[in-house]
Amino acid sequence: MNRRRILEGGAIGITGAAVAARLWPRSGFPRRQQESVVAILRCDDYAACHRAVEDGLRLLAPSVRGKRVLLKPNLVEYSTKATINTHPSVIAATADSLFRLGASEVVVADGPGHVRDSEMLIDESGLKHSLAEVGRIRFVDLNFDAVRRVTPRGGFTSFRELWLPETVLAADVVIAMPKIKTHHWAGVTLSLKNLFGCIPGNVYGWPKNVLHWEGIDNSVAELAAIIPIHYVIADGIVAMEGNGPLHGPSRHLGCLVFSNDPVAADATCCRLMGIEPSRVRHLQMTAPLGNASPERITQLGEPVSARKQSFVLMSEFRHIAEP
Amino acid sequence: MFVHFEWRRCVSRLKYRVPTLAAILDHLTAAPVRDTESRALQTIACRNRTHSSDILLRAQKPSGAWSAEPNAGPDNCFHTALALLALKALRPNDPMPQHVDHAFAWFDSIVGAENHWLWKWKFRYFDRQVRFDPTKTGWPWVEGTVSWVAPTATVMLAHRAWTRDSPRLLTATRMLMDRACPQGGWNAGNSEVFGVALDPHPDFTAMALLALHGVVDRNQPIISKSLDYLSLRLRKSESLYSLAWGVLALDWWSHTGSGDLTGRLRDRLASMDPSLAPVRTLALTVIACDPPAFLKYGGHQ
Repeated sequence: MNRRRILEGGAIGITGAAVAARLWPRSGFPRRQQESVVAILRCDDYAACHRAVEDGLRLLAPSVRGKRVLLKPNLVEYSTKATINTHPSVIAATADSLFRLGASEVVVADGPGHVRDSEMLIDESGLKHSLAEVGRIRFVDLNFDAVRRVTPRGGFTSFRELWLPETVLAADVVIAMPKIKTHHWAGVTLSLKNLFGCIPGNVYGWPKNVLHWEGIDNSVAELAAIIPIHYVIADGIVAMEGNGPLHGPSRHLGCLVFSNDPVAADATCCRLMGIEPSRVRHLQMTAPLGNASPERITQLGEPVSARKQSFVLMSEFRHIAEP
Repeated sequence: MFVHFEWRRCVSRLKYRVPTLAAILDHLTAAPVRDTESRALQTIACRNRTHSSDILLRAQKPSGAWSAEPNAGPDNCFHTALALLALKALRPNDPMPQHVDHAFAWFDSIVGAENHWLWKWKFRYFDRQVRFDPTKTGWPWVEGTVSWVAPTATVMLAHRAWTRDSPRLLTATRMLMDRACPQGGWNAGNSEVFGVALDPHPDFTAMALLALHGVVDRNQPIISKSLDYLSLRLRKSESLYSLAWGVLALDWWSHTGSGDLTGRLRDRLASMDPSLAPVRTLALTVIACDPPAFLKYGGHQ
């Protein structure tokens, strides 16, 4: 073996290690010790969702009395052709129920990834009207919120700093409210992928392309290490399959999913869609943050099997389907 | 010309009918702002009342760029372009060479990541889910990402306002034309993903149309379809922000739909409480009412 061979071998080894570190970054999460609660409540129609939301919150018993609660729905863009966003009725019902549970303030906040004009989005989607009916709810456009510098510690991306919205960082309780959808880049978009909406477009642009260049899964994990999701209320009354998050066909799943753990919530939503959660990369990466295994989840309401369906997946993501 | 004249008459009518425009300008001049976009638009809107460029110039970073907020976030092409437009509004006859040269030199150093041979190769031959031509490149929002419509369009406007030439303006024009939605209009910059045409958005469409005005022939199908899309889309919208961008673009292109929409913008302005609107929206509305000439024709006019 000559010196050239040694140098070549060393270069290949270093490159391989760098690629491996990029693809399988170390976990930056403290492992969750306690078991998680997930409740699946049947709800076939948005007109009846208020009752389901109240029942779900009763089961979940969130600690919100006297606290500032931030609801983070999934608002992408409005189309009459597709069910893209978390339904306004579910958001409004949740806000109303949280006030009844003693929340001192409820803020609905999102930073749409494709749309600069959030005013148009919340107006045309009906969210503005629904929030006005409840009253006392402030909508904050996270794309234009004041920002604070945060140092990422997850080690999933090369970000040395991230500028995140003050409203998110100052909230006492964060409730993620995703729409249950498949996603053409990430496999699924649920409570954890929903964190992309916390990246301010005014700082990073539309879309939040810096996250794509870091890798969508890596960025989801990095954000999950920074922003705590205390509870999840996922809108699965009408979900989306196939070419989500914008152009997939609607799929009536007929339920809302409640949880005190984003990993457990997302894993359960995957199972409801006929997807194996351990095959979704960002769920693998964030697994220590919560409980993906059914053995560590206290299942309330209906069992997964009662509402489970087989969602259509893009060919790029057929491998995440349950066997 | 008629539309422009009509609009000026509307503005002057507003001035005397109710204290609207004067009150709005009073409010805008005094409104505290945090971010560069609001500061720049406020400066352009209140250009006849404010003469100090100190705050804007202090926010310029050593790189020559501006970020979203002073000392917050990465260097940003969109905000840098808006800051340059605001500086032009403040001192139309002052070359301000040092700061301005520095900013344009920074623009020269920033290029969409798709311009790198490796990514060009990847997007051309392997990663074909998003339809775009990686040889046609403009400016990204922030360094290390690909080119997008809003930063490319505003950087082109900044070049026009300061009558700066650059060989990159031609490729940026081609990039905007390449990223147009098949049905007309522009979104953030992806026209088709996984074979599905994405919907355009009014604000990005207006920015692209403003940048292409005087550069591309209006009979080009992309332009005529985009103008028609913008005019129709804004009829169904209540958003002041999109309406203001749209009126600016339709007015510049003298589109037949601009008259009704400027009337709507005028009515909204006359009936609104300025304290309830974000500064950037309010300022943009005032600019749409009374656009500075340098935006349209460049500093030499």
